Amino acid sequence: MRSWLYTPANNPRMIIQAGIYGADGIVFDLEDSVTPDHKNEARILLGEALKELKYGRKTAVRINGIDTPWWKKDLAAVVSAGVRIIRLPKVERGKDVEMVSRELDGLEESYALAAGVVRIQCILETPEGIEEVFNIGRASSRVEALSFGAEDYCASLGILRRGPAFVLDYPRSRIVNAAAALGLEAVDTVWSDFRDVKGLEADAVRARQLGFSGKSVIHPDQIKIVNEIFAVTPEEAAWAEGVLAGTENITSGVLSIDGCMVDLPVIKQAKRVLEKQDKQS
Amino acid sequence: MESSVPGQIKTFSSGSRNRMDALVTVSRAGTSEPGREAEVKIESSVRKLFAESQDETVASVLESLSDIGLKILIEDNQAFNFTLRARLVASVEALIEWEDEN
Repeated sequence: MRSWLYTPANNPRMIIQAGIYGADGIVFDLEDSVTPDHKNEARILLGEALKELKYGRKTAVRINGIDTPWWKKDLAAVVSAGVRIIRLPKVERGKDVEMVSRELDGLEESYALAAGVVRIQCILETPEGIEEVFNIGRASSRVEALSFGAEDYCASLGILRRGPAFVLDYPRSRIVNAAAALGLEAVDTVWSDFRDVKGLEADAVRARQLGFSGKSVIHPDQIKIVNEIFAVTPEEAAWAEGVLAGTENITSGVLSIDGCMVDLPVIKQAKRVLEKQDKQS
Repeated sequence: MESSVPGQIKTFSSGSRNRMDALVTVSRAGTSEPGREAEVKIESSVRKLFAESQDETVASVLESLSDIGLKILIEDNQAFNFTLRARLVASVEALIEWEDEN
C-alpha cells in the first residue's frame, strides 16, 4: 500500500469523493479532524456512509485514542458498518493494543464476525510509543501495520517538523525495523503542508529509503507524488527479473551477474521487489 | 449542536449547509415533560427504523417523529440519503440525551 488518504469523517462531500483520487487506501478520521462537539455526529455520519458507499479499495478508520471517552463507541459504530481496519492513534504500550483487541473480540462476537477479522494499524507518535514499538507490534495478531505520526512526536521532543529530514531517522528506523521483524507493513507519517510539493517529495523519498512501504497523505494532490515515489520502478523490476532469471536453479553459493555479486540474500531481495510490484499492480 | 430560545423551544441541530450536506434541526416545546415511553419511542423511531430496513425512507421516519411531537427542519444541500439519515439520527439523539439529563 503506497498511499493512505486521510478523510475527515464529518464531511459528507469528502466522504463521498474519497475514492476517486487514486489513493491505495482511505483512512476516515474520527480523531484530530473532528472537534469534540461533533464526535457523535461524525461517528453516526461515517457509520451510515460506510453501510451505503463502496470504495473498491482498503478502508480504515482512525478512531479516537483510548485516553478519550469516545473510542469504544467509535469501534462499535465502524465495525457494525463493515470496517475491518482500525487505525489506533497514540499507542504507547502493548497493553493499549490488547485492550482494543479485547473490545474487538466482543464486537466480533456480537456481530457474528470471524474472530480476528478486524485488523489494527498502530500509530506511534510519542517517544514512549517509539521505544515500545516492537512490543506494540507483537501485542496482538490483529496488528497488520505500524504507522508513524510525526507531528505529535516532534511536539513531544520540542523540535520542528520542517527542519532537516534526518531528525526523524531514529523513530522511523525503529518502526521499520520492528515492522520487518514482525512481518508487518510500515506506513510513514503525513506531510502536513500540502502546498509544499518539494517538501513532500523529499520527505517521501527519505521514508522510502529507510524502508517504509507507503505513506499517509492529507490532501488528494499528494497522492500521485506518493504513489510514484513508493512504486517499484521499471529499473528495479528489470534488475529483479534479471537476478532471478540468472539464478533460476541456484540454491547456494555466489555468482556474478553483470559484474555484481549475487548470493541468496540478493535473490531474496529481488523476489521481494517483484512481490511488491505484484501487490501494487 | 445545541441552541435555544430561553423558556420556549430547545433545538438541536446536526450537519451544515455545505454542499452535499444537510442541516437538520429538531425541536420540541421546552415546557413539555416527556416520559420514558416517549423517549424510547423516539429512539425506536430513528435508530430501529433505519437499522432494520435498508429501504426505510427518511420521509417515513420524519412522519413517525412528527407523530410524537417533534418539529424537524431539514435544510438539504444535495445531500445523499445516508447524510440525511445520519444528521437526523444525530440531532434526535442529542435531544434525547438532553432530555435524559434534564
